[in-house]
Amino acid sequence: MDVSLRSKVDQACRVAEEFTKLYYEAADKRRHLISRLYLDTGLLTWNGNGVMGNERIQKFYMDLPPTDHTLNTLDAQPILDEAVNGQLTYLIQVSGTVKYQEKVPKTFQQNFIVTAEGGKWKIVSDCFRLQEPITEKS
Amino acid sequence: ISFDLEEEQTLPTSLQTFLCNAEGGAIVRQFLEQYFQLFDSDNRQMLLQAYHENALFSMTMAYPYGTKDKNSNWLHWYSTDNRNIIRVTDSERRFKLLKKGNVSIISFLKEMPMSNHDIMNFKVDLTVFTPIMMSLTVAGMFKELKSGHKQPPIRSFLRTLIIVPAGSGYCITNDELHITNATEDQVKTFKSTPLPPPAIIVTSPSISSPVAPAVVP
Repeated sequence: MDVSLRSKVDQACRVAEEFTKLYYEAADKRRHLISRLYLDTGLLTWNGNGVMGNERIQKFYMDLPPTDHTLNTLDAQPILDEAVNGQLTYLIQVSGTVKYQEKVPKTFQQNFIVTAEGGKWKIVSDCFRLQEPITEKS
Repeated sequence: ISFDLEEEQTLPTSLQTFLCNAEGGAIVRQFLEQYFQLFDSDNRQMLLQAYHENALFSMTMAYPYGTKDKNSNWLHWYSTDNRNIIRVTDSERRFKLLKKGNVSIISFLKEMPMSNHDIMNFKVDLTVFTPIMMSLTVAGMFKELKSGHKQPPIRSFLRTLIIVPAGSGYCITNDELHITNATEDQVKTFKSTPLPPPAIIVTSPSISSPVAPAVVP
């Protein structure tokens, strides 16, 4: 068995657990700190709306109605070295429900690319989708 | 009279597609068309070349919030390989549920129920596009066929693909798939995409070319 793959997979899962806990806590309760989780050049796509840069992402979050996220599933993989020049990077995928302003929960799915930078895990890309049809075609 | 703070905030309008790089749009469209044509065909073996030899694949499943059709549209088939690490806490099992390498991925994809994806309604987000990699998220619906249900169920999915250049085409290094039931609102918008005749798939030059895994841009 590939020992290094095994340990990378173990670590990917542990980082995913720790990361999602911090991320959704920040999103729900401490939005003024959320920019710290992203690379300076990080990207958020929220239902097809792209927001580039950690400061802008924080502003975007501050403007969203209050949220309460609950996770149902979590999955994580190490991204193959070929794709990331050997830099430790994980792909994390989540599903769950989100309540906006105490309304009926909506089902969502989300993924993250998280990479090691300066001893911290930082979000390269964060892609969020509500599970509902698009009403206006873009 | 109420306080200003209680003012209702609205959510931004959802958009169908986000492309971090306009150039990537054509590549992504072609890649997805080819991938899902093969996925919906009776020959998923052809997807072998679309995956890196060391590629990783995993799947999770859940029922959407508030659905009442668990009895008729059960997702049992997907639960056996559900790599939900919230529930699967044993590291050995987490490793085992990860499909490692293109051969084992394809043999799993071949076992999955037959499908017909609604490609026209796909929501697509291209979030990374560099000379060495692309990150692509696809959310959409498919009709599940021949899986023992009286009415073919409409499933909803979100799939994240990490893609690298290979030869004159591209291949997938990482694939994470989430499967759930479509909600009533989603089902109303479902459109069947007619399958092209198999001959077209087989003779497609980019697929039969040995150096081009799935797509020639």
